[in-house]
Amino acid sequence: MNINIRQATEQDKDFIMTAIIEAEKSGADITSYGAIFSLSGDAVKTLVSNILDEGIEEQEMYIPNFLVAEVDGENAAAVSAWIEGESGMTSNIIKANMLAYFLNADILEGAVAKLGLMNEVNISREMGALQLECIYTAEKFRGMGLSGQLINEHIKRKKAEWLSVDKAQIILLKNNSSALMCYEKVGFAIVAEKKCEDEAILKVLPCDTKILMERKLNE
Amino acid sequence: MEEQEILLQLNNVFRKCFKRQDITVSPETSAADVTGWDSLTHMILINDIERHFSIKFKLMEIMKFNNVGDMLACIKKKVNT
Repeated sequence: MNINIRQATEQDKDFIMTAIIEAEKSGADITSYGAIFSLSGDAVKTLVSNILDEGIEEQEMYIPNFLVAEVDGENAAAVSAWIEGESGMTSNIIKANMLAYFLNADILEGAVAKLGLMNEVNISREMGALQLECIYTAEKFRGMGLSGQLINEHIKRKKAEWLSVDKAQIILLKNNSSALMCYEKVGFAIVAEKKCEDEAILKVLPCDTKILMERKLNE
Repeated sequence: MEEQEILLQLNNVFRKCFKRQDITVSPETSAADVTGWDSLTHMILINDIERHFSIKFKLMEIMKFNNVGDMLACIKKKVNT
């Protein structure tokens, strides 16, 4: 079995879209974008496609930020990574800009209450820290340690490029125990968690708690 | 429309969006200066500004908004053309 890790290209767009959408679902039937903004599956795909086409850096939905693992020439797993706040703007504000641009005012107004709930579980990313997101492995390739390999490769590459980066962060839902174990295996530990006490959050997310995991990179 | 008039109207948009009458923004004001200016309010704010001034920002314009002054300059350009 031959495993090849490489940077994603425009030709990988369909696979990257799948990675973003499936990772975003985190075990639920629909993405949080779908739940928050009342968007159909197709509308979410269009939104993600439009965002990827804009090529906005410093957030997860940017194709060159992805590394892809191929198994015997087939796309099997993908992980996105970037340095938070490289240009002074947080990835949350960058994504808010893109959503404000692509979603109309009525959709946004209809989502205010749900966005308020999302804010309650929002964990800030540390400026200057390496961020890992959209960690996805296609079902038939699970259990091969591909996510861990991609995470380690991202860390290796970013450390070579950004000598000062000393921390990697992953934010995930607390109920995602298989992902949590995978990240622990590659050196991450839980450092913070945030819970929404309003059970209405469960209409938006499959779990009421988000956790922040970190790995020190200078040890 | 003059810059002062746009700033006056922009302050009203901010007050409505943040549901606070005590907010006064100047061209130097950035998100870090206003309590509650997070990604959620930012998204609503952009739409409220567009609706108030009957304009539509381009994505690349929004991405360059580092402070209220950047917004002001972009709004001025759009409402005066």
